[in-house]
Amino acid sequence: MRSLKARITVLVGISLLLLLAAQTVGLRIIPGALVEDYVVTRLEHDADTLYARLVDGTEPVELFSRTVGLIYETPLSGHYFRIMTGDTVLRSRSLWDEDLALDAVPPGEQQVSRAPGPAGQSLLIHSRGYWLRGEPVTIAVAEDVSAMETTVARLERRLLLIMLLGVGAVLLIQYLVVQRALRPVDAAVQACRKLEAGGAAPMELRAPREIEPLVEAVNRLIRHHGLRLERTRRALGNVSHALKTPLAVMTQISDELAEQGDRAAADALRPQLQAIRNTVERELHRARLAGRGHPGAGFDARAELEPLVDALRRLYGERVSIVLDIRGEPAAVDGEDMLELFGNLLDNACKWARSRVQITLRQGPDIEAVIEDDGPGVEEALLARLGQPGMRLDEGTPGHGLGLAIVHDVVEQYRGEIRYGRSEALGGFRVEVRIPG
Amino acid sequence: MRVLIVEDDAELGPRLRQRLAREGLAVDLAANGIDGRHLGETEPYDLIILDLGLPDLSGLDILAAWRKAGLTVPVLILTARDGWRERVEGLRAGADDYLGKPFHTEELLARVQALLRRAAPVRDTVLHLGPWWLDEQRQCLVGEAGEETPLTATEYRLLRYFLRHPGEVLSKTQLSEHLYEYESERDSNVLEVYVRRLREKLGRDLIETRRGQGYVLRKD
Repeated sequence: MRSLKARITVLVGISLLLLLAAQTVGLRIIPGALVEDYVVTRLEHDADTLYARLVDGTEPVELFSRTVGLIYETPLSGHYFRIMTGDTVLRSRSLWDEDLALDAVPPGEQQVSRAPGPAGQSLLIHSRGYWLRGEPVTIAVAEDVSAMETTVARLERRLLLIMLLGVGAVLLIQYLVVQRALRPVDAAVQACRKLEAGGAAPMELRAPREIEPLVEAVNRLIRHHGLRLERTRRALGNVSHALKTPLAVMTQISDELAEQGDRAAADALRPQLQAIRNTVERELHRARLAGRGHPGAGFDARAELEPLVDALRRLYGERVSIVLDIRGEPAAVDGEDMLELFGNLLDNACKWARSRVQITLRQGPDIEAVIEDDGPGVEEALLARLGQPGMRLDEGTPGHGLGLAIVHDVVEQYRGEIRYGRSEALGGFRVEVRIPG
Repeated sequence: MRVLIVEDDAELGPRLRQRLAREGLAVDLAANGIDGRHLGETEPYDLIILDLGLPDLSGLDILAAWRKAGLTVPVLILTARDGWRERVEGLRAGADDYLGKPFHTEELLARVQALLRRAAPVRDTVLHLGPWWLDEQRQCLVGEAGEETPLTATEYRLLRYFLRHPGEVLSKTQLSEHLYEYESERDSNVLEVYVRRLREKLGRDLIETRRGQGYVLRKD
């Protein structure tokens, strides 16, 4: 059993049921014993009284019943006695014409027994042996306890029922208590998930002392990972900067050569420079991608794409209107990667659009986005070649032709899907991209 | 039109300056962030080309400082860090365009022209003046029949500024601030000479003199 809660619940439940069983056994024994004790004491007294009368001898035996108690006179009253001396047997009137089959008890001894009585009664019998003028006498006194037994049984049933209800209530309470007691664990698990999804660890989180180190370790690990990713990216940025400025100078020189009329030199330089630039750009971009499933990743399209669209509006502001429709919760993918993906796709759309660009995005846990424009679109035959390095459709529009290649790198890293087609709504280019979270 | 380039690279900066000057722009070059920020704040530029990777000050901070101070001059960011994160940050800090290094001269020029057009009161791609239009490539006036009227570099600068701001009273100081580099001698009397020459080529009435205020190019 791997669930802590189930385990605690079952263990507590078992101990409660054991307690219930012990109580039931006690309930069966104790009231019965108490009743018997009480009745036997009374019977002893009656036996002693009878013996005292016998010893006294002033009263005729027939009249004993009257002095011992009227109850022994009333037929089938439930109170009986039987005195045996040798062959003589003296029975209380209450026995009427029934008899109790009893053995003689040696003097000085006594026994308590049970026997069925007349009229379906249940008798508790106390027999005791005495010496009476040198002869052994056995005095047996009996009482019907069936009414008492019925009462005790009813009491037992009631108590048992109350106890069952009590156990049920306690089980329920302990279940709730366990749930409540382990809530910090749930909170800690949630916090770890949040950390994994790139959120910040909530400051008010007080994980139980047993679990705190775990949460801290996760937090540390993720922070460490994040720092390393950041360092790598910064280093790559520096490399990029260090390589691209000289490249820019060389590009300027080649352009100047062309302007001065030295076409041959410029034409020799340009493809080389272009090749270096493409490699630097593509490989550095690829190296910067965090990729799928790295902890600490978090991308909220709302928080990231709105600034991006803002920025694009600054670039294309008057010409293109951009409509952004985002639904769902943030997804656990890297923000930087997604910004590269959507930046390139949206930039393309804005470049080509006549006046409208539309983004429809569903996020969490996966990201599904459709980006459409009302530009000329792409011919069916060319769709399959989109995103291949060096494939450029926008010869006239400024850009490197690397945008879609980078988009493909991102999609590949996340094992996502990308599909191109024609927009039904706007009539231009349509990109459908799916990134599993 | 006056342009400021803030670029720390000792090779790239002067080359850009030279190339833009050939386009008839008055170009100042700042090789570090502190000078660049100061020039941007004090001189009335029509465009600023800003490198983000400066050694002393972050280009983004400079841009933010300018925008905070209320400067509305168009800014073209030039940078080797062209991830989308940086682009978004740059554009949101107030940049108007973004160009990743390395770039081709034509691309830079196209963007510079586009930004200058966008910022001026007249945004037409081709500037017209009476029967002429201004050929910005060859820096001359072209008539209806295709005949060309040559312009000197300063005449061209002056005329283009007038054409981008027709109907506005332009003082001599204002004109010289937008036509000459920071280091150059500014003699407002020289301007009078150039205005006279333009009048000789275009006719007397096109540029009016407002005494004590400056010049106005008549709106058609």
